[in-house]
Formats: sequence, structure tokens, C-alpha cells
Amino acid sequence: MEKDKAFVMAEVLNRTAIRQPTWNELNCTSEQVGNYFLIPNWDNSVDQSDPFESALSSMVSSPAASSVPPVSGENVMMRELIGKLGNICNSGDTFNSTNTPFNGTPLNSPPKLNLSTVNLPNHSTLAPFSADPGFAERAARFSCFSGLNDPLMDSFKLSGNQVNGSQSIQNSPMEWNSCSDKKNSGGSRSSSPENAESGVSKEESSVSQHITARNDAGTRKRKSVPRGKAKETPSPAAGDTKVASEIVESNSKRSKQDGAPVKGNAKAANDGNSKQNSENSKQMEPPKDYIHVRARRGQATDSHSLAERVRREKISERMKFLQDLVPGCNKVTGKAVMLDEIINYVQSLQRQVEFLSMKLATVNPRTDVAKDMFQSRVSLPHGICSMDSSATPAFPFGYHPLQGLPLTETQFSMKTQGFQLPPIDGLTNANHHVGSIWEDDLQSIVQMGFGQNQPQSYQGSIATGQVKIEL
Amino acid sequence: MDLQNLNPSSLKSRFTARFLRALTEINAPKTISSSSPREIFQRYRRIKVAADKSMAYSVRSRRIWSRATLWRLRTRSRSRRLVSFGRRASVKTRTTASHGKENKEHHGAVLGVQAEELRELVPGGEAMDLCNLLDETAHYIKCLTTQVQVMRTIANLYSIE
Repeated sequence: MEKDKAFVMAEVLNRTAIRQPTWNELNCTSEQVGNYFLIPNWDNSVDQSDPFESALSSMVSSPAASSVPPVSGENVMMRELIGKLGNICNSGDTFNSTNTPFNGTPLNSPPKLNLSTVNLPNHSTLAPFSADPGFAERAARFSCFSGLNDPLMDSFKLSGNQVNGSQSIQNSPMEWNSCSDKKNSGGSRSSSPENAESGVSKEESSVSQHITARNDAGTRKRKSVPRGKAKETPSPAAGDTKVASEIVESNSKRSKQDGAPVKGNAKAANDGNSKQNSENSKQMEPPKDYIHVRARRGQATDSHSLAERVRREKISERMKFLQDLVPGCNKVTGKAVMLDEIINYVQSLQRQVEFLSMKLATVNPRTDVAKDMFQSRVSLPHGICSMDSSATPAFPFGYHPLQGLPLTETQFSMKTQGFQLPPIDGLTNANHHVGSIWEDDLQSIVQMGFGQNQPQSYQGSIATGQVKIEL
Repeated sequence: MDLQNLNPSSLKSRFTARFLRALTEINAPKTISSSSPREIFQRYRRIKVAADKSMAYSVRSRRIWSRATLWRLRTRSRSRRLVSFGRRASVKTRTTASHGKENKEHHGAVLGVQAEELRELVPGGEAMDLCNLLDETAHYIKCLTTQVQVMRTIANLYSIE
């Protein structure tokens, strides 16, 4: 019973889980697809959970019966399934999704999530590409199973051909393998830390190959085997009817383990993997396992996933801010590389502080000399501070010792490659551009630091130095 | 370049004031002699501590890292009286931290590894989740750059003579 429901749901979601152009075609072409409404702007690569939810909500909200007999009974079952799905996969999500779609606001979720998807250009291009041939394959098989109308299949085929170009539905087994291969490559390429994901995808590809070796006719016998395989691949948990849910949960758990701030790449790979899972299961018993998998992604409707998504957005926001802070990080994409850069920058700054303190320790003994030299200047501290360049002639005596200063300061301001100043020999930080930082702040710091009217003599000397800098 | 436009209560000005005060304190007792490496090294340490302390004080206790730095400085100053104990403790913590980092690597969480590194770098970062850690890192970077700028300017001014 539950299997049937799952089957129905998966079927529905399968149809809805198409990229936008294909979905539009489907919507136009087949009536039964009309039941499964999608968000027009659904971005397949990133948040497949949202379309799932929106599809579910739309299905729930639109009780219109389709002309296709197998579909008619689905609506009721779907609603029940929706309720069940809400309980099935609580273990957290890797996808940004909200509860709102179930309440009938499916259109809100995808646009919001597009922000997080901006960082994943690779997967946005990869996922639909890899998903499409597999999907077309699935659609072909599904039509064999349930005897769908030709328009549906045609649109599916069209979508598949559009994406792949060369590949055709007749080569569905090969497509399937290629799709899985693409998934593997995409997964491995995209997420270096997601070893578990790539491992899962590889296992899935093996499963898919196993599946494609069989005939198209779906039988109960076949169901158990691939489901068992699918069960093994992602999770060791057992369970006949809840295989997909377990798979889903284990996937979500694994994705959580992979890192609290799940990268968008990982997420997309996970999406691909979950789709792979769904596709695998679909081969045998198309909708049932697929539904569970899809539910997992869309399942981020509980408070945990909500909080998770909020947290992830916060983290990405802060990463962007850090990107502005750390010089030379504009071209860097991805959290890992960015974090590496940040770590290097912080280390370099700390080393600089140490170096400068050492330098100050060695240089300081001469302060007495400087103090004596600028003893005469102490009487005019604020005059010095507020002086413009026109006041330079008033300090001919102090000009000589400070002659070196403007040069060094200009070196500071003109420096663009980093810490290559002659006075600071030990700095080895060559991977940051500090020019912009130095120019503005250095002058301000010199003015500021020495603009304060402190009675100390070397403050006065510094003030004169400041005058020189202004020149 | 008007000095009036400068914010006297900005981080930079506060840090500079404190640091210069500390520098004069450190340099005051020194006479022109004292070029032995040991004294220079001692002075270097004192200056470094003064720099960190003045920066942390400039930030008050608004930030976790500043609080951690101040706490660390205070405990270190206390532990200096028990020098041997302090050294052993610090060594122990370092080994455990590195060991923990290796474990994280095995789990395959690259972000976790880098987050651990960042936590080691930023004072007080061990107790923060990634979100706050990034916040603290941003502020810490800003303060460090300020510190570097001020110190470099001062060093240049000193090195002119």
C-alpha cells in the first residue's frame, strides 16, 4: 500500500522533476502533467527539494483529476504521502527548503534559494545535463510501466534530446550509465570533501548498470534486488518499505557529517546523488524509492533544516565580507580556498606584527637621539599638527632627519605587491596586495596617531614627520 | 589633510595611543646601551605583548577574541611566575590541538580542518561555531591590519634616525 503510494508520488515527482524548459513543454503537451505543477523558475541544479515541495503542494492544492487512470488515484495517496514524508526524513537537510510550500506558497522558496545557488555555476550546468538523459531514460521506462500517453513521452524525449543532443532515448541504458558517470564525475569534481558522496554515486552507478542490464519490464522480483542494492549503497540500515527514506536519511546524515557548512557544491552533488538514487529505484519500482529520496531533499521543512539554511546563509554572507577584507580574494571561489586564503592572511598579519615588534625592539634605543633632535619641536605640537605643507620651511633643521621618512611613506603608499618594503626585510608575505590599504590608512594613521597632542617629545617628532608626509 | 577630520576615538587612534604609551614605558628605563641580544629579545617580547594588549584593550571586551587575548595575557603573566608550569601547559595544549586537527582530517571534512586552523589562529576561536568564527576573523583581520600599519609607521619613524 505504501509502496503504491510511494510509486505514485515518485511518478508524479518524476514528471515534475524536470528542468524548466522541459517542464514547460510537458505542461503544454500533456494533460496529466497538468496535475504536477512546477515552479516556473525552478532551478534544477540547486534546489530540487523546493520544486518537489511546490509540486507536492500544487498537487495537494489542485485536486483536479487527470485523465490518466493511474494518476487519478494518486492525489489522495499523495496527500497521505505528504503527511508521511514530513515525518520520514527528519535527519536534516542539505537543501534549502521551507515548510511553506506545503502550505501552498511554493513560489516563494525557489527565488530565495537562488542566492545560495549563485555560487554553483558548475553544478547548475552539470546537474541538468546529467539529470536529463537519466530522466529521459526513466521517462521511457516509466511509460513502459504505466502506459503513459505518448505526448508525455515525447516531451520527455524532447527534453532529453535537447539537453544531450546526441544521446537518444533508444540508448537509454547507455544514457543511464553516462548519466551516472557524469554524476560521478560531477560529484568528484565538485566536492573534494564529499568523498562519501562520490562513493555513493559510484555505487549508484554500479547499481544503475546492474539495472540497465535488466529488461524494461518491471517486476516485483526486480524491485527487491535493486532496492537492496540501493539500500546497501548509501546506508547499512535495513528496511523493506523504507529503503528510500533510509537512503535519504543516511544521505542527509552523511551530508551533515561532511561539514556543518555544507558547500553549495556538496549540496548539488548530493542533489545529483539523491536523484541518482531516485533514478535507480525508479528503474525497478519507479516512484516509490524515488519519492522518498525526493522527499528527503524537499524535506527540509522542519525547524532543523530551516535553522540550517539560515545558518548557511549567514556563513556565506560572512565569507563574502571576508572576501572583501582579504586582499586578492576576489577571484577565489569556494569556501575551502577562501578559508585557506583567510588563514594565510591572518598568519601573515601575525608574523608581521611579530616582525615589527622585533624591529621596534632593535630600533628603539635610538629614540633618545630622536628625542634630542626634536626637543625643539615640542613647543609647537599642535602647530605642527594643524600645519599644512606650507609650514615645511619653518622646520629646516628637522628636515634632514625626516628626509627619509617621506620616501618610505611614499613607498608605502605606492606599494602594491605587498610587504616588500626595504625597511621590513623579513616579511615574506608576497601573496597579498596591500597597496590600497596602505595608501589611505597610512596617511590617516600617521596623521591620527601623531596628531594627538601628547606632551611626549617624540610625539612632537612624529608630528613633524607627519608634516613631511603631507608634503 | 586635516587632523580634525580624524576620529580620535577610532580603533586606530586608541590603539596608537596605548601602544605608544607602552612603548615609552618599555623604552624609558633603557639607556643608550643595551644592545645585547638577550635584552633585545626581552624587549621584543614585551613590545609584542604590549601591542597585543593595547589592541585588545582598544577593542575593550566587545569581541570574543579580544577577551580571549586579554585573558590569555593575564594568565600568561601569572604563569610566568611559574615559568616551567606554563611552558608545559602550553606545549600540551598545542599537541592536543594538532592531534584533534588530524582526526578532523580523517573525517574528510575539509572545511572542518580549515575551521580548526582558523580557530587556532584567532584567539578564543576554539569555542566558536563557524558562523561566529568568521565574524571574529573579520574583526580580527581588521584589527591586525591596523596594528601592522601603526607599528610599521612607528618603526619607520624610529628607523629614520
